[in-house]
Amino acid sequence: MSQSKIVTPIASKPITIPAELTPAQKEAALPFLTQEPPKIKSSKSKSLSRFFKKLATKSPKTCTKSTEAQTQYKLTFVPVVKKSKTVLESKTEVTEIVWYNNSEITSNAIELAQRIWEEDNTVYKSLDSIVEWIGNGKEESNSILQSYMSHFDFKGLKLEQAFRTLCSKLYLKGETQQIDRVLLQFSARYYECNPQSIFGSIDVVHAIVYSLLLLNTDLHVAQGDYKKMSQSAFIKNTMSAITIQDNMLSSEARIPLQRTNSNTSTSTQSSSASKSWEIEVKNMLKQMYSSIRCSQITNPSSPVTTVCHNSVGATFRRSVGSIIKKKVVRDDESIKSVKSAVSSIMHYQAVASHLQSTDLPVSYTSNAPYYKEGMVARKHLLESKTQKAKHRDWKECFMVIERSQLRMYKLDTTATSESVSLGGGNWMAHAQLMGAIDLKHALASALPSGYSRQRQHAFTLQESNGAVHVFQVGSDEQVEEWISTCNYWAARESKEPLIGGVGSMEYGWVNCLETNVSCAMVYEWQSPAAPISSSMLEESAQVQALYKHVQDLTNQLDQHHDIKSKMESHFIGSRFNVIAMNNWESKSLYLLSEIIKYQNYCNSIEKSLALQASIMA
Amino acid sequence: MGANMSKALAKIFGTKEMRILMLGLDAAGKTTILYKLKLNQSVTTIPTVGFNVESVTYKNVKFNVWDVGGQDKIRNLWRHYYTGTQGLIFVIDCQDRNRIEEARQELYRIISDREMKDCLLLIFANKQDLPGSFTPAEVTDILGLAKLRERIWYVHPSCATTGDGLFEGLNWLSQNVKAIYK
Repeated sequence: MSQSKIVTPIASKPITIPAELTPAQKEAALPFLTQEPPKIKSSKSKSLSRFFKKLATKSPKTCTKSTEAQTQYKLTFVPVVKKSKTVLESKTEVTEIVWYNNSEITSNAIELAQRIWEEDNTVYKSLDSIVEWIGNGKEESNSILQSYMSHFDFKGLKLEQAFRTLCSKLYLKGETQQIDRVLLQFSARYYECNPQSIFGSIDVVHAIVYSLLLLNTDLHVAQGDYKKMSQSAFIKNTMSAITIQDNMLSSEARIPLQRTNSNTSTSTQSSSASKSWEIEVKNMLKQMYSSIRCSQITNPSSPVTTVCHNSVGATFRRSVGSIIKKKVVRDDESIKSVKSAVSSIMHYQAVASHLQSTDLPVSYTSNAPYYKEGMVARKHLLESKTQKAKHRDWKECFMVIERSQLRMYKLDTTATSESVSLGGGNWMAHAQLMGAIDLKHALASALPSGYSRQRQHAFTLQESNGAVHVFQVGSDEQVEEWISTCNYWAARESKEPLIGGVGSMEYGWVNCLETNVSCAMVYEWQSPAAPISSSMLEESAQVQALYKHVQDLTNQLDQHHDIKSKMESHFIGSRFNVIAMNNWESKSLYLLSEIIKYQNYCNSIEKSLALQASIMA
Repeated sequence: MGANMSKALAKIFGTKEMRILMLGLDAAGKTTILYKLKLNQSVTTIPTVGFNVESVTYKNVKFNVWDVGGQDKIRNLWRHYYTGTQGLIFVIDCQDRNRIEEARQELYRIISDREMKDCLLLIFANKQDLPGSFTPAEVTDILGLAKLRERIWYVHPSCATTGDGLFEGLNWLSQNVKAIYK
């Protein structure tokens, strides 16, 4: 960012009234100039610089080259400012804003705010990243934010209108804290423009505007099966937040509230006054609620859509059949896969780039263990570790392994409309995706004696969630090729989990063994989920990582075996004996199967490396 | 109509929903986490202005995650959402050693609320990829989690930028949501 280059010495420069100003403006500006010697840096001079900046914003075109600050101001003051209203407004700014200036507004910040206001996209990455920047809480950003807000004129606007004005200009996107900082500064500006408003303090404005945004989120953004915020809940929630602001304020007594000022004579009077104030605010909130429910607050330049549940439509584009198959494949995904499979020739070449020897001939990269396709018969045996699959019949399909994606196609059906338009003579024209399996953390293994007498050459594939598929192919060589390809890509793309998690739940070995206190509860141990992100490591680095993980697992298993006798003596006679020992057994099994899996992965990659070495030698 | 159908289907296929609040100091990685969780799922770019709320479906559980936060003064506004929240995700920047105390206070402010008494607490010990970051065990110590009786919590290592650990954390939430409503 080029912030450091920008020098805008407006606050420290002697300021003269440009001759081009109208007499009315001169008159309005005069009090500021005479009150304060221009060279003194104070809050007043800050406001003064802001005042001039304000005049500058009204010009149709301002100079963007900030390095020539001197000439810039001459230029910016040339156009005639028409309304004397802006001048009046700046006056109130001078008197009101001072106490809320908790950060020094530098000329640099003013300059940047100006450029953001003008949507000069050289100062920020994108429109929707502005809040992330000016709302990040750093001192400099605070100044920019404050200066940016001062460009808005909320005078005479209802709070909701003012907020909509803000949202139509500034893309409110960022972390909640960042958005909140913008809201707070917005509230300050709103209050500054409307000091006579009913709200009485910046903090009350802030609470309401935050609540408005929350309401908009609740009614128009959030998905899910829950009750939308009702009008009464909105009012109750907002009022409780306002009350807190009030309590905090009166204890701090920083700002004189007009409503408490006006009735301090007797307590009864003030209580009735605050009652009527409450009713008035509540009515206002009611209006806000119905207005936001009817018309959502939208970001800039997005067409205002009527209330419709896009999300529901999206879910329903899935065919019911695919939901039943449990392997949910979205339409767009299947189109993508068809597209990608069409270019499988390209794919063979691309595979080479993932290998140690990047110039391995296509005759190798188009075969096992790097690529494999062919007809198979498959059966979905288990849905998960403990649940049988619903449809366990054998199905013929054309199967393709492309990196860690295994896809099954149905070939002989009438083509779907999508594949016709995309296929163009390829076998894909008559293929329909039946299902896809993510090979990450899966393990393929041969069934040496076949699945049955009729199905001699078969192998199984166990997914990370425990699901099991059986595949039947033509020969044992085929079995070997499929297995090596599955396991090779599983080995390449599976990422070992982060270790070291700590939890409060007692499984029989967490805390009770050390403290030797009988536990109040023992929960059922469940194996952790396998990571879903892919490993990006190169072949040799990946095999190192896998070896290390095998070592970690082996250590864990050793430790786990060591605690068995301790657990047995601890839980003897305890009502948790069965569950604790079952937990021990499950974890032991889990660790063992993980070791086998990762060891297989290591072997797969070692084989591939050896193969490449022999070819390239 | 669509909504009713989806509810019916949810019943048939056992889809559950969980409301999750996510909290943490700014720059701890909440936005990145939300973004990463949404990856590979249909992202509907909503033009509507709002706080960060995302629905993520993972293993038949639909997680509705709300990024809660802001200054102390307006914290009361979020109380509306405390009721019926099954899980709290608290995100810690494990490299920011200066602000961990601030993070601890933030955590206790929210979990001491009566409405949050029963909810599961998942802590992402985030930014594990950076050198010199706190381990989950250290985070447990600093936050004084061992003293939290009656609360089911888990400190999960994570690296939001790569997505490591995130779904594993959600998996923990979905596995144990039964434990609190048994």
